[in-house]
Amino acid sequence: MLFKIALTSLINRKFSVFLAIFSIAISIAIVLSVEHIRQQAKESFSNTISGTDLIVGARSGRINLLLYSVFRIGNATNNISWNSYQAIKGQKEVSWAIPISLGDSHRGYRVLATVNDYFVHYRYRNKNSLSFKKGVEFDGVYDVVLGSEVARQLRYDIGQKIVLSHGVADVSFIKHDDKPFIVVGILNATGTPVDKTVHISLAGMEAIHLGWTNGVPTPGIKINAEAALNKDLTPKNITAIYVGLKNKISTFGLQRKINDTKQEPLMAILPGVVLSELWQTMNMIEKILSLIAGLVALTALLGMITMMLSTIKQRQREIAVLRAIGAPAKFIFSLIQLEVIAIVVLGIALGIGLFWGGMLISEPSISNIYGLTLATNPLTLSTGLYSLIILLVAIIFACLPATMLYRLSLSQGLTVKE
Amino acid sequence: MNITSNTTALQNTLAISMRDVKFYWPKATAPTLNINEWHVEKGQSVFIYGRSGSGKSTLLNILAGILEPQQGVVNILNENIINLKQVKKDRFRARHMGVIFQQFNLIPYLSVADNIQLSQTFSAAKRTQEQMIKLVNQLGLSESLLSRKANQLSVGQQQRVAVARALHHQPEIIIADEPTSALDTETRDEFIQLLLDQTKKNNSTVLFVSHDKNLASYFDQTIDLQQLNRAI
Repeated sequence: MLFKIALTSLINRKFSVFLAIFSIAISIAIVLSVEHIRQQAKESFSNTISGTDLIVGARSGRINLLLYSVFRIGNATNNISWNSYQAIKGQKEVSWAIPISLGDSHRGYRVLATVNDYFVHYRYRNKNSLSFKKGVEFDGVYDVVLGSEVARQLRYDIGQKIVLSHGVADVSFIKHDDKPFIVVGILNATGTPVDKTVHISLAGMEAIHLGWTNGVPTPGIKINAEAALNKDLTPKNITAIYVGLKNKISTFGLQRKINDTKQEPLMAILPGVVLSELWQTMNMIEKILSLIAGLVALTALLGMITMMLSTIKQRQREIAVLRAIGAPAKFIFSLIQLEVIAIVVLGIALGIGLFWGGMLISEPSISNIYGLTLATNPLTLSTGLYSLIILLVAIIFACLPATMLYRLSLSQGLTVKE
Repeated sequence: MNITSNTTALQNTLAISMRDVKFYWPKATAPTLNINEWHVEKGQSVFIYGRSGSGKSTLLNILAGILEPQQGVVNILNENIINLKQVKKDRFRARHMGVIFQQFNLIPYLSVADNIQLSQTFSAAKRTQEQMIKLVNQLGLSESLLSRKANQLSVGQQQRVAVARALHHQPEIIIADEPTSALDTETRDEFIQLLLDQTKKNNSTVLFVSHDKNLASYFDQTIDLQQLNRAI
C-alpha cells in the first residue's frame, strides 16, 4: 500500500514530478558525459603516439621535445645530425628508427618530412596504424600526403598543387613557390596531431632548402625544381627520431646510452611517460569540469527537494487522514523518502538513456571528424558509482521534507489547523 | 460474587473509561483538559456536545492515542493506552478505532476502493471485496463509485465513503468529529441514520462530537463537554 500511495501521489502531481525527473535526468546525463569525455580525452591523449619506444631529439626539456615532435607545438631548440641518426639506427637493440624533420608549414599546418616507414610504424591508440582514405604514400620528391583535417579544412584532393612556406607562422613571407608539391595521398582521421600535418619526404624537405644558408635563401643562387632532383638530397640535419625497439626491456638502457652521447647533445624520452606527465599539468581543467557537473547535479536535487517542501502544506490533510487510520509516523517518513527515491531512480534511468542515446547519435560523426572512437559501451562501473552517489545525496536531502512531515504528523494530531 | 470480579465484569462491559486525566499543552500552566471520571459502555452511541474551545479536539486526540495526557488513566477496551509506546498506540488505533472527520476524510488521488481498504492495511484485518461492496451498497453508494478517484465525488458521497472506511475493518469504537457540518439538513439526518444503523450491526461504540444540539436525539446518551471538562 505504501508503494501504491507513493506512486499515485506522484502520478497525481505528474507535471511537477516530470520536471523534477527531467532535471535530474539532464544532470545525470551531464555528469556522465563529462566523466566519459574526460576519460576518453585522457585515454586518447595518452595514446597519441604508441608503439614508439623512444623519441630522440636535441637536448632540451622532455616536455618540449614531446610537444614539438608529437604535437607540432613550439619549435626544436636545435637539430640533430644525420650521422647521429645513422648511429642510433645502427644500434643492435633498435628495430626501426624514423627520422622526422620539421620547420616548414602550409597555411598554418605544420609540414613533417619523414620516410615511408613512418606510415608503417606510427601507431596511435594502442595498435592502430595510419591508413589512407585516398591515394598512396609519397614516392617522388615533390609528393605530399595530407592529414585528414588539412584535406577537409582546405578542401584539397588528390592532384592538388600546393606551395609550402618557410617557417611555421600562419602568414609566412618566404614561400617555397619555386618548388610546388602535389597531393598524392590523404590519411584517415586519427584524432591525433597527424590529422593536422602535411607529410613530405626528407628529400623534398632537402630540395626546397637547397642553396639556403642560415634559414634564408642565399642571394644569387637559384636551383629550380628540376635541377634539384639531380643533387644529393640526403639531409644533413633532422629534428627528431622515433625509435622502435626489438625488445622493450632495452628501453632504459638505450635511453641512457643516447643521453650520454659524447659526440652530440642528444636526449631520448619515453613518449608514454612524458604524455602522462603532460596530462597531469592539465588536471585542473579536469577538476573544474567535474566540479561543474557536480554542481549541476546538486542543483537538480535541490530543485526536487524544493518541490517536495512546497507540497507539505497541501499534504497536511493527507497526513492527518493516514494518521487517523493508524499509519505510524514512520510510514509518513517512508512515504516521502519513497517518492524521492522513485523520482531520482527514474531520473537516473532517463539520464542514462539520454546519455547513451546521445553517444550513439554522436558517435559516427565524432569518429569521422575527430577519429575518436568512443567506447562502444559507455556504461561503466563509474556510471553506477555516480548514480549511487546521487541517489544517496537525494536520500539525505529528502530527510528534510520527510522529517518535517513526520513531526507534523506527530504534533498536529487528527485535526488540521488552518 | 465478590467485589473484584464484579469490577472486572463491569470493566469488561466498558469501551472507554477515563480517570483523573489532565492534559497540558507545552509551557501551559493550566490544563486544557481535566476529566475526573468518564465511562462509556460498549455498544453505546454517545453524543458529545462541545463548542469550539471546549477541548474536544484534545479529547479526541487523547482517545486516539495521538496526544498523551500528563496525568491519569485512559482505558480503552480494557487497555490503558497511556502505557503503550507510540507505535503500539498507532496499531491499537488502526485495529480498534474508526475515525471520521468533518471533511477531507479521503486521500484525494486514491480511488474510493483504495481509500476504503486503507484501514485494512494498518489494522491487518482480513476483509473481502464482497464485504466492501456490501457495505458500500448499504451506505447508499453505487458500486461503480469504487473505481473513481476520491476527489471526483460530492461532499455527501465523500462522507459516506469515510463511514465505509471507518467501518470496513469492523472496529469496536467509532470516533466522528463533526462529520455532518459540511452536509445540508436532509443529507445530514440520512447520514446519521446510516451511520448508526451500521454501527448497531457491528455493536460498535460511537462517539459523535458536534456543536449542533439538535442531533442529540439520535443517540443513546448525551454528554456536555463543558460539564465533563473541568478545565473550563
